[in-house]
Amino acid sequence: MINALQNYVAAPLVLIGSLFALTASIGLLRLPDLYTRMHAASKA
Amino acid sequence: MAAPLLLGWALNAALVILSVALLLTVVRVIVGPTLPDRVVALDMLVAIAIGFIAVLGIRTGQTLYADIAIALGLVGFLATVAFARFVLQRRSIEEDSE
Repeated sequence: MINALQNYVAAPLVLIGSLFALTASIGLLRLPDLYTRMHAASKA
Repeated sequence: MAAPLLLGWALNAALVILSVALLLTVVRVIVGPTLPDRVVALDMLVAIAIGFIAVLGIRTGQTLYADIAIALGLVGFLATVAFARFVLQRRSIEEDSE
């Protein structure tokens, strides 16, 4: 019972974390200069 | 949906998303017009690698992966500090030669 609950909590957290990494890398690729890129990289 | 199935799907999706993020960051490392850009991108690369290792650790159920991720985080931090000092030193040498 508690194990299943653990899985239901872990699945969205893993997804959200990886989406943060994706957001940071998109920001790293698209932002115009170094300082904005550092700001994006701190999202990962 | 059964719980382990949902977690398995989420882990697979996370691996795919992290792979795309890794690829985009590698593009920035290759393209990056200046050295500091590449330093930031390499730091980001280490962060994504830590995420990768964490997801693999959940997938295999091996707790040892957490230790590996922590060690990689330490090494990545040291590498970034070394890079920053390298950039600083290079800049002061360039100023001396002018």
